[in-house]
Order: sequence, then structure tokens, then C-alpha cells
Amino acid sequence: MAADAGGAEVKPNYASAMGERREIAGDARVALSGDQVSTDLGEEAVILHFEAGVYYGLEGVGARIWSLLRDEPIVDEICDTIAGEYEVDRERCEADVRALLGELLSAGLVEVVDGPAE
Amino acid sequence: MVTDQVRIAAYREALRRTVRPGSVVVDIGTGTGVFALLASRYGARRVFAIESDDVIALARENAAMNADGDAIEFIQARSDRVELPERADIVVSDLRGVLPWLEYHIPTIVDARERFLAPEGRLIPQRDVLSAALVETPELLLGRTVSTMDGDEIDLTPVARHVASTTRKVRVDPGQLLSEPVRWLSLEYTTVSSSDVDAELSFQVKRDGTACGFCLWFDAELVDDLGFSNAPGEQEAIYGQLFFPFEAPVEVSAGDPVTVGLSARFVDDGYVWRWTTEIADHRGEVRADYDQSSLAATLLSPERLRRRQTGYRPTLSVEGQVDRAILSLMDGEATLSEIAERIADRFPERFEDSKEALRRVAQLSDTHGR
Repeated sequence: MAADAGGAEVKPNYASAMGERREIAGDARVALSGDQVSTDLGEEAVILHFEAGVYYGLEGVGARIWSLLRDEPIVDEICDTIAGEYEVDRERCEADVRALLGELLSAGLVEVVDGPAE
Repeated sequence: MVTDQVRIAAYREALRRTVRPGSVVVDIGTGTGVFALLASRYGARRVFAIESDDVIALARENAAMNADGDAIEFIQARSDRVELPERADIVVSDLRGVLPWLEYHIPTIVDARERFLAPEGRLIPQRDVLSAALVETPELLLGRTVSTMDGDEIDLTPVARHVASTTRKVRVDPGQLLSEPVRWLSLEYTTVSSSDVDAELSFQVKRDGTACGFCLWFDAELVDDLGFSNAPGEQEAIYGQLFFPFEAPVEVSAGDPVTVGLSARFVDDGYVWRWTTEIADHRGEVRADYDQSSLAATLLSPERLRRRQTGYRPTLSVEGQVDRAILSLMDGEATLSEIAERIADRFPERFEDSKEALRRVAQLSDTHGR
């Protein structure tokens, strides 16, 4: 998505620890983890893993996805919203959204509350 | 703090009771040296008075003016970088803020306990007991909009969010309490090992009103049954209470249950607090369910955060290059003015002349020189 989202980026930055990625199903319901606290800072979301004391940041589309996670959506719903808002190819969007959610899941910043993580 | 009679009187009595002729005492964060002088007056053979701040110069002067000062050895350093020649019978300190969770207070006590205190030695304070109560303090809240003179409204939602995430020192009147005080936990300095804290609070509303948040305070137990309280209505000491606001005020009725999960984590030299609040009515119906943290109040710059991460690849700013050049010239040969001349020549865009460079050179000499 970094190249095809009209200049916007799904970009987890700050912490290289978020390199590992778990797979997540399209019909999984996801929510913000109880182990994190976060705040909006301008166009960015600043996230602190409360237990590990590690900061993460999301900007652009990533920050938008983070805001959607507050409503505990199904992964496919996030993809629909993002594809519509940023006018990107649905298939490509889904791959990028699931990739980001997989990284957030690995970092312990989100959790699957209903449905399988693949 | 030296003018705080509640605090000073309690510490003086604690030292009077515990110091024996021949005792060895360590005073961590001695400040103006009052505890060290008292320990000396009560018969200590040797007092190590440790202070990293320049205020230690006043402590030395105080000692020189008092006959009790001869037993005191002043050490200007952070205590965790100090080696002492013998173990102490008493380690006394007061590095708290409004609460004991302030900067390096707890790690400092843990370090001093492990490295300075003799096996049968005593820590002053022994413990701090934390308590909390619901409060009605509308003056501490901020609306989401403010009206201008001509009636227009300005949306201040980001400011309101910031204020709702900001803990602050208060002095609550007992009449503002919406619940009886509830004990949160006891911080035992003889055993504490972690700066992190997690514990739940359960309040029962005692009268109808508007719950704006809760306040937290500590009651100090210095030795045995001797201490002082910072509870609302007690004789005022310097500390006060710490107010944790609710995201929005909540109308409550007598008997309503309120549950708060309260946690703190030591991150990057400071504490991030998190408080989750559930307020129900007498039928058990939830009226408010908040998850707040002080993270939003820190106003972190994304750029600054980015520079602190493990994967970041930094390069030196001009200031960094200047400092590196100055430090590399501090070799025991060049004088400060010689270093300043070379730096001014090398960084003409940064310094107009060597006099201006000398200020920075002198600062670094003060911080890193020996």
C-alpha cells in the first residue's frame, strides 16, 4: 500500500521490533490490546506497549486503521473502509491491511476477539 | 521543603529514635543537609550525605556553621554511582513528589538498600501507604468549547483531551470527597523491587454529586508508628494529593459502586499512568466506562519519539558535531580558552567568536570534565 495509496502510507515506525508478522483472517474481529495505551498526535497515532515500555507510531493510513480498531471491526470491514476512502485496489488493500494487522498482532498491540488468526 | 514543618518534625523524631552513638547514616538527596545534621547531632559517628545537585554547597556551609557537622562527609553524585567504605545502620531519604512514584526515587531506594544498608540496618521511611477517594472538583475540569465575547464557540477538544489526561497536584477539601478514603496499597521500602505498580480501587459513593475524578495520596510511616498523613483535611505538608480526572464528569448517587484499575510504568525517565474506571448505578447499569492514560498529556513529538527507537539510525546534528569536537579536545593538555578558539575556528557558522564558544566548552567541562 505504501506506493499505491495516493501518497498515504501504512507505516509502522519507531520500533524495529514490529518486524515479525502473524497472519490474520479476513473474518476475524480485532480490537486494541489491553496492553497498550495510545493517543493521537496530529496526523499520527502514538502507541505505548504498556508492559514492555516500547513506543510505536503510525501515520497516514496506518493511523486511520488504528482509529478504526477502536470500534472492534472485522478485518474485511477495515479493508472496505480503507479501499473506499483511499480509492485503492481492494485486493491490494486487503493484503496491506492484513500485513499491518499481522505486525500489530505480533507486537501485542491488537488482539483477535472473535474468529481465527490464521 | 526545608520549611515544611510536618515533614521535618516527623523525620527529626525518626532520626532521634533510631540514631545511636556510633551509628553510620546515609542521607540520600541531602539537599541543604538538614537530615545529615540531625543525624550527626543525635550521635552518628559518620554520616554520608549524598546529593547530585549543586545545592550541596549550601549543605556544606550549613555543616560548617554547626558544631554537629564534623561527622558528615558530603558526596556530590548520584547515589547509584557512589561506593561507600562501610555499610550504614540507617539510610534516610525523601525523594518523593506528590507520590512516591517520582523519577528515580524507587530504583534509588532499592540500590541503596542493597549496597549501603547493613543487614540489621533501618530504612527511613519504612513504607508509604497509598489511599484514594472520589472527588467532586468541577474547578479542575475544562469544557470542550469556550465562548468568545461575541458568542461564537471555539472547539477546544484537543485541549480538553489533554487536560483529561493530566494528573496534577491538588489540595482537596474533605467536603469535596464523594467517597470514604480507600486504601490502595502499601509500598514497603524494605522489600520493593520494581517501579511498576498495578492495583485496583473500589469505592462506594457516599452522597449524590458529580464525580470528577479521584485523588491519591500517601501516608508515610518513617519508623514503627511514627509518620505523617497527606489525607485531605490533615495538617498540610508539602506533598498534597494527586488528582486523576475522569474523561467526563459523571452524576452519581449514594451507594453507586465505582471500580478503578490504576497502573504506572516507568518509561524513559518518567511514569506513564493508566486508569480505567467503571461507574455503575445501584441496579448495576454502567454509567461510565473510561480508559485513560497520562500518555496524551506528555505531548510527545513524533520526531523526538522516532529518535529514541532501537531501529533508528542517527546522524549528528550541528550541535552534536560541536560537542563531539569539544569532547575530543578535552585531553588534559588544552585549556578551555584554547579549546574554545579551535572550536570557533572550526564552526564559524555556529559561533561568532571564541568567547561565545567558551560558554559551551565550559558547560561540557562542567558536565563531563574531571
